Amino acid sequence: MTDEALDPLIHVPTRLKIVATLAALPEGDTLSFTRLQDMIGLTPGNLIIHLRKLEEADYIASEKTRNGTVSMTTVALTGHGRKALDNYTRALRDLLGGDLLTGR
Amino acid sequence: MRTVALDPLIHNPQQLRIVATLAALPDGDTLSADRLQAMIGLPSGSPIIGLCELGHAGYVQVNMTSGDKAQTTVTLTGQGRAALDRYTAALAQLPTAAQAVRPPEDKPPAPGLRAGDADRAAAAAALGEHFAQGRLTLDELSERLDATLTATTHGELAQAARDLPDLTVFPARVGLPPRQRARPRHKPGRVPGIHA
Repeated sequence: MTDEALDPLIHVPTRLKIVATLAALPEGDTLSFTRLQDMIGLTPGNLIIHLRKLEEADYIASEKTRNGTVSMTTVALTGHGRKALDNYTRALRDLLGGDLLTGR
Repeated sequence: MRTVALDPLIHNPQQLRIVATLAALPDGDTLSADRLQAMIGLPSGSPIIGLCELGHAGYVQVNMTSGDKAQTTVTLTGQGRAALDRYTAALAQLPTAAQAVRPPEDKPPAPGLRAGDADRAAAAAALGEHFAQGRLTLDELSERLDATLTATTHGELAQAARDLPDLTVFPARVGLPPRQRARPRHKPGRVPGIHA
């Protein structure tokens, strides 16, 4: 068994959910903060902390747009983040023995 | 999506490695602690962290034989195997890049698509909310409501809401300052008092 480490940044269940959700979007698409929060079921404060960690590692990019009195934040996975998730799933798949993650 | 719960006992990287290694054995087979140590890449003699937790949870069974050659063997229990199955099933439920499905709410319907009563009612309710939040004057509201309630396509509905933000992104807020345009306007050239 190769000892390929599971990226601890992605391994935390909440962040895994965030990254997997963003990875499900077509490349280049973004998700609004509110929508992501709704999909994952976190409080805004909680989500912000996790997003900041991911952004510091350049796994995600967020963009804040202002439109008069209202502002809106959108989040997207970077190419770097997508690659990290690919590595992570590969490591997990190796660990769990191939077919465990594909079917069902 | 929200129901995906990853068993923390198995999700712990070290414990995941132990459980996955044991699960690869045929049912009922045991592994000596030394072999397990080598297989998960630990130097010989170091403690197998996580084994205790898995033992307490009943996921693995640790047997120690005494004698001149004391040996510790480890085996995955049926409970542990079931927990790993649940874990991998939960992982499989996470969205993957392969099923790249954008949530429908994020994609507006095609402009030519016919609108139904529910679409018109929802659009009208949204206009009411924008009026309440001060984005529309009463005149603008009634003009747009007319357009919305007689709209036949999603394109026409979108046209009536063309310059308004998404209410799911900008929910109602309290304490917004009243908009300038909501105040009564004076017609230019008519200064009260001069022409009287």
